[in-house]
Amino acid sequence: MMLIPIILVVTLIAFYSIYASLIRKKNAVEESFSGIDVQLTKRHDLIPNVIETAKKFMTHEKTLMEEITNLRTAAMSTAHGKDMKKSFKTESELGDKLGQLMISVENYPTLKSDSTMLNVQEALESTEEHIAAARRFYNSSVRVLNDFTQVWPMSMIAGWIKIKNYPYFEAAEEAKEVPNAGKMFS
Amino acid sequence: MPENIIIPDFIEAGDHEKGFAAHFKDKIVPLLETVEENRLIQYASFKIRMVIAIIAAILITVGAIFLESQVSGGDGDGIKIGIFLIICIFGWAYLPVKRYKEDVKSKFMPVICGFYGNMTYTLSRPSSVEDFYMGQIFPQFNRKEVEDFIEGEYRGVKLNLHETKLIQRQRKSNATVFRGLVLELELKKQFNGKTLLKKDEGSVGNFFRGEDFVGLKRTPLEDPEFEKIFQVFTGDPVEARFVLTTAFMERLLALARLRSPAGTPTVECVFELNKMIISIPSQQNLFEPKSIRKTALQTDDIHSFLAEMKDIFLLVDTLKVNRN
Repeated sequence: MMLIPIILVVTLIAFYSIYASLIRKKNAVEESFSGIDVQLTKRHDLIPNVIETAKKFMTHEKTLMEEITNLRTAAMSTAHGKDMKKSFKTESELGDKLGQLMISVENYPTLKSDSTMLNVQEALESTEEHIAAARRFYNSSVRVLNDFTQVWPMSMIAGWIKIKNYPYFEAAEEAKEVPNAGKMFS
Repeated sequence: MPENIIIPDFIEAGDHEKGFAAHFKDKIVPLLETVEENRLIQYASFKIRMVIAIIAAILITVGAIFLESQVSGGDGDGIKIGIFLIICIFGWAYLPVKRYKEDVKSKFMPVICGFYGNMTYTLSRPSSVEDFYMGQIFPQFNRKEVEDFIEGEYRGVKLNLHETKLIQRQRKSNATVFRGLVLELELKKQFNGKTLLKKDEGSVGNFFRGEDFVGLKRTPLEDPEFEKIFQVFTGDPVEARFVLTTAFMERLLALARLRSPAGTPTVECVFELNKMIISIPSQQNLFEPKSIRKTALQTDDIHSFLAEMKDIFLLVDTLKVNRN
């Protein structure tokens, strides 16, 4: 007779432990995602300085700078939103275009040695590295949650409390291609 | 000094000694005579002291045994005092050897460091890094002996290196709990917080070590090879990954294998205040001259010191901290 209440209590404790663990892991993923957001905000804040400084010297990159400005606007509208995949894609494209701009700076010796540009480049480089680090942390948190939710009985409980698998951050398709050095420096 | 002394030529043996022959001739040759004179004085003193020490040791031993046999129910206190006195007297006898070695190091090492440009050597000075990171990359200790401080810049990297020996009093005896190098490197990156890299001691070892690094949490990283050798503890997982990029993790693995090619890697480090502080255990006492019995008019000591400097620079080259 005592056995049934004991089994019931043990089951409840086990259920609660799994539930609490799921919530903690989900919160860790969301916290790590907002960590990426913090770094991306720093990047968005730097971009106007980059564009203003580059505009004075780079007369042939008007199209590229307009693309960056538009992507920045799009990225800021998808930030903090629910659509993670769209946010990742936009930010990835923005990162690529910024990279192209920095490569183009090499063609302008005066701009390259301008102290404002040097400071901005350094800040941008540090921010990009922090973004990469934040993304790694996000992927790590997602892996921990996804590993947990894909195993029974956690998968069952995750389904009941509507905890989904989160997407990994992946590089955009264009970034996965082997870069064409000739095209980049033409 | 006799007139027929022969000053040796320095034969460069390896790429790491390239260009040193001219430096040897300009800077070290003028010191050799002084060092040799001092060696002869200290060696003579050492020989006299050894004779006195041996005689005293014999007398103390006989006296201790005699006293012990006279005192009924003695618990060996006489023998213990005798051993203590013998150790002290031989310590006194070896002082000239210690003085000679310090003389060689304090004369030659600054000149050798000068060969590398912006680098200085100090035989001894206070060091607080061991106290600061006690319980993190250094074990608990209550006494330390530090020497051979090298400070300067190598390939654009500011570095600071010294040898340390950490001792912990255990019941009635002293135990050496750490012996090796402490290497501080200034990194190009500006980063916040603290990240600690401990060696992985296996499930049981890690469990008993615990994770009681205040304010730091265990953070697994992506590289499985890295995770087999190291455990990362940090206050900020993003900053930890900012410092420990995938490329840098590869270099840390290379460093760990360099120091322990066959055995368990033992290097540990901490990243804080834009610096990387590495503790490198080693039983070898660096920058020690050869025996006082050998003439100082030789180049063996110099070759040995240069080889040790090369090994230290190899650590910095392996990490490539001048890149990021």
